Amino acid sequence: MNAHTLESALRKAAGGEVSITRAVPLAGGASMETWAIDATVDGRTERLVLRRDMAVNMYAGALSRRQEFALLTAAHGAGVTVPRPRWCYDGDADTRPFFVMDRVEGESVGRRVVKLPELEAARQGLAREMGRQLARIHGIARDALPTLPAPTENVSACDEALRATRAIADGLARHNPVWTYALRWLAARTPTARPLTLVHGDFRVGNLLVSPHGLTAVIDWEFSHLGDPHEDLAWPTLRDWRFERDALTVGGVGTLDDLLAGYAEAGGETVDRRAIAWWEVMGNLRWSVVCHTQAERHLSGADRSVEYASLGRKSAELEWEIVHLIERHTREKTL
Amino acid sequence: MSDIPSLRPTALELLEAAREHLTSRVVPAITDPQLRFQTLVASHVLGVVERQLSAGDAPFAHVRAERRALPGSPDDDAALCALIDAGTYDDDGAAEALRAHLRTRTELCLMAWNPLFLLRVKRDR
Repeated sequence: MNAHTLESALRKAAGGEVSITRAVPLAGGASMETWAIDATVDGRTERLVLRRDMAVNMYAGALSRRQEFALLTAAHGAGVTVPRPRWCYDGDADTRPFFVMDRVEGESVGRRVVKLPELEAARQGLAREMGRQLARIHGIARDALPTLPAPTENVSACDEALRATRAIADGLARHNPVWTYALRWLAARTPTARPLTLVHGDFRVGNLLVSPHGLTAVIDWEFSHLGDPHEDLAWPTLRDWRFERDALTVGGVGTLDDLLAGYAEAGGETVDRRAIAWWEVMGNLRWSVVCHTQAERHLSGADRSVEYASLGRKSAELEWEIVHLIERHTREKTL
Repeated sequence: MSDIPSLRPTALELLEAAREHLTSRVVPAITDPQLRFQTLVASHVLGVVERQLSAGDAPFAHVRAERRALPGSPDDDAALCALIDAGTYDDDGAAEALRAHLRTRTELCLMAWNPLFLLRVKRDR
């Protein structure tokens, strides 16, 4: 997308005079194109971020830009720290759907959040702040939310996660005994069903903006859905999101106690630690399956890339962790 | 091929040469961060192949033997998965044997993919 197309797209969305002074592509995910834009909109200087669909949408079940915009609006209204959503455009013959939000300063790359010396003070309170954010996210009233992916009626979020993961694993036909064992082990231990809440779906260090003053935004809402809030509490504790600081189980910056203290402080419902443990195993399993899904994009010829190819082998890290967690829970009788 | 002494560089030495070229010559010259990252990944996967080739078939033969020694004597992974689904390893003892086997396998994969990961997490056990 060149500057001219960006400008005319932005004009359609904002419905006013727009002139772009600077547009820089940001390193985005595999399914989204993201731009940092400086523009004058109706005479006012604006610092913006534009998120636009890629030509091919990689993940079935990921939100549309319209849904993501509506969700961001709801989260913003509920006091979650998110960039202010500005405009949304559903697309036409010239441009794919996109939305625009205010640009917030902060580091997003997880490895840097965990290691940059200038973020040391911010790291101190980060896990607790993450807990507060999650409490607000899970507390958003259902009727304030757009239509979101949700478990089939009368199926619990845990059973839905098992079903979906098994379906993808079967489709890959890898005959991976770690997956087969983990699915059976998890199915025998599903925690008590909770009322469904909004689940961010990818809440972790790496999907937060962090400045020297602390957390400045929760970003990347494209995997949001209705589900079990414990899913969001477990996901940021996955070893792969600790960026080699293994002892600090929440994102390499804090402990689960910190996260849960912040959660309780901001009004989060009572937490079931066994359910968090269950979702931690489930999270590793899902991430392992996703790694192979990505490798398959390469192997099938759909999207040749050495990066996707390598993820098939990276899966071994997640598989090791799954076996490790199951051994530990068996030994300590925690699940 | 390995019994032709004149066949030099060996396959491993060629991989190493390509990997060194990528890391010491190509990567420093790349300014595009995404291309730089992907080239580092490419050099990493060459290292993975080097480690897997130098380990040879012995570790895989060990995995096959260990699998066959499990209850139900599965001959391949499809058979092992079917036995898991049938509940063959639901009892404590059988489950422990299965987990030990799964650990052997994942560690073998990690020796090629990321031996440093293995060193790091083993301290954590």
